[in-house]
Amino acid sequence: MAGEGMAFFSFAWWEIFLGGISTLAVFSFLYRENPFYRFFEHLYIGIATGWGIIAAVRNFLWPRVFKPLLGADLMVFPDGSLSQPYNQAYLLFLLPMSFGLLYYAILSKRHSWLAQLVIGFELGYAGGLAFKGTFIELLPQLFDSFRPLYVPGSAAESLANIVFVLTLTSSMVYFFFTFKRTPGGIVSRCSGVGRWMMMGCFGAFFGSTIMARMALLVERLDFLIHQWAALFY
Amino acid sequence: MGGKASLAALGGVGFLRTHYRQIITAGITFIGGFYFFLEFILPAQIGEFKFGKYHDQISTGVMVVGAMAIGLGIINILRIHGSAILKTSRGWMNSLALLGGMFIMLAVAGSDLINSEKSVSSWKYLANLQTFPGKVLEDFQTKSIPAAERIEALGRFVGQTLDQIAANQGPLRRPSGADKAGVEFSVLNADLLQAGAHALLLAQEYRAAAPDLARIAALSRELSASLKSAASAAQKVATANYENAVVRRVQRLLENGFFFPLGAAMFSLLAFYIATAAYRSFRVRSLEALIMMIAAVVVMLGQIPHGPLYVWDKLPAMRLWLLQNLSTPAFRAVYFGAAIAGLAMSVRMWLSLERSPLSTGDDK
Repeated sequence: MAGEGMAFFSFAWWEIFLGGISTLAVFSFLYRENPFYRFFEHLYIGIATGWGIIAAVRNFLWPRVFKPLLGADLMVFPDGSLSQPYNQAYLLFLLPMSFGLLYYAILSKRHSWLAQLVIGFELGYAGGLAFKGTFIELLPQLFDSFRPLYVPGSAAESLANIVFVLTLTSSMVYFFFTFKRTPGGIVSRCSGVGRWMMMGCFGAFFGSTIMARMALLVERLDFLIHQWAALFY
Repeated sequence: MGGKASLAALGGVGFLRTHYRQIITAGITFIGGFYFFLEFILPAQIGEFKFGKYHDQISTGVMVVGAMAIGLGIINILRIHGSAILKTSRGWMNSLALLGGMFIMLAVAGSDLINSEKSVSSWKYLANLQTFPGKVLEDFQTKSIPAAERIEALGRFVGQTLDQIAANQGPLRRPSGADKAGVEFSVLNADLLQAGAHALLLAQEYRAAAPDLARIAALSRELSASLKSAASAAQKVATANYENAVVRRVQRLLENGFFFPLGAAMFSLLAFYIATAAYRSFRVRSLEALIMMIAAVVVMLGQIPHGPLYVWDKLPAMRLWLLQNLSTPAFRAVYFGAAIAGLAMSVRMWLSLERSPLSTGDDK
């Protein structure tokens, strides 16, 4: 029991107490939308925003940009000498930083078009990066999809591969609109099989999602019953 | 007539200005993706030229551009919720909660970040300092750089650190509570005292009329070993002090009291709604609904490790088979189409053929 041996009104006590209040506030939505829920919903957004900003600074801006730029990663020995000379190339970070400041031009009606430059740059970056990202993700899956339909000595594996290839091709045919579909034709029948297979896939996804949400719910209920309620007895 | 001509001329200037802006924006959009496109299609090495040599730095630089928008998000939140508070419009208390939560988290997590940096740098400095005696000896032998003053400076630093510890200040102060860090604190003190003594002896040896290089090398090694041991103890002391600091505990309170439980409860809330959705979906009215229900039931029951709902020991294997041979290829078929469409969309954006994200009233 969490309540046992826990100093009354200690930090740990408050953590559990507030955690329980927060959980109940969110669950109060099950009755209906209410001010208690709305207040904690906004509080969550505020805390998550602050947390996200500091996480960006902690994990990226400080260690990879500001620390080397300010020379904070260099060590000054007691005699005043440096562990290694300052790399002036880090000053080049000032260029993207200045360029990124153009985002704030959006706040001015007259100069808002300048923000389009930096937004355009980021879109272009995402577009250029998409080539690599798409092919790195796509190609291994594509290669893996060409499976042998007959595996000597293993009927189970052969059946699995046949189902795999049949599901993949029929599901792809479902989205294939180049040929005209005539009712009862091969494309139409194949597309129908693809729809069944995809329904199976969606059912599996649905089942996984339900179980994931249920796991979270069970964890919350376990917390409320065994930790939060234990504070009071 | 003259007025009409002037208006037409002004309209022409306006069109030209908008046109040039579009060209500049399209050019910068193209430049934004050009390097990454080349980096993908070109070989890593072309003759002597290594193309991806500065890839990490360029990627970081591009990410910096995006990171600069963080402030814009804060400004927008302040504008929307700040004005709601000032006007005391409906739900202003919620806006106050949002801004209050954000600023409290920023202040606490920001202070925690500073504390964390101070804590890490305190022991890392000692750890890096162990190379200093060797460097001094090398400079003394190869470049004839006077060494005694440098070692004395090291000795002074060790003395200052000991003074700070004695004054119970800084990240290396005595940890509260009788945990293991208390023992490490005694080790740290002893190691630093030893390092100070070695530094004194080493400086004296360097100042001697005829320095004994063998003894200097031995003393340098001992000094380095003392500093290394001190750094190891300092890491435990600094970490204990950091974990027990009030700021760290308040940060944990905000995380465990609000952030994590609110997030988990929000997602678990969907379990209730998904149950009603399941009821609607699983009413068998067609073959597709039946297939969907069977797949979902097998996956759900197959995921239960034990208990009253653990109905059949073959179900986990069936669930895995279903996920691997039915769910994966069907999802893959959808993904292939979506990935190709996404790539086409990316190319259109890169070449500014897709203008909607950048469109303004001026474009029309």
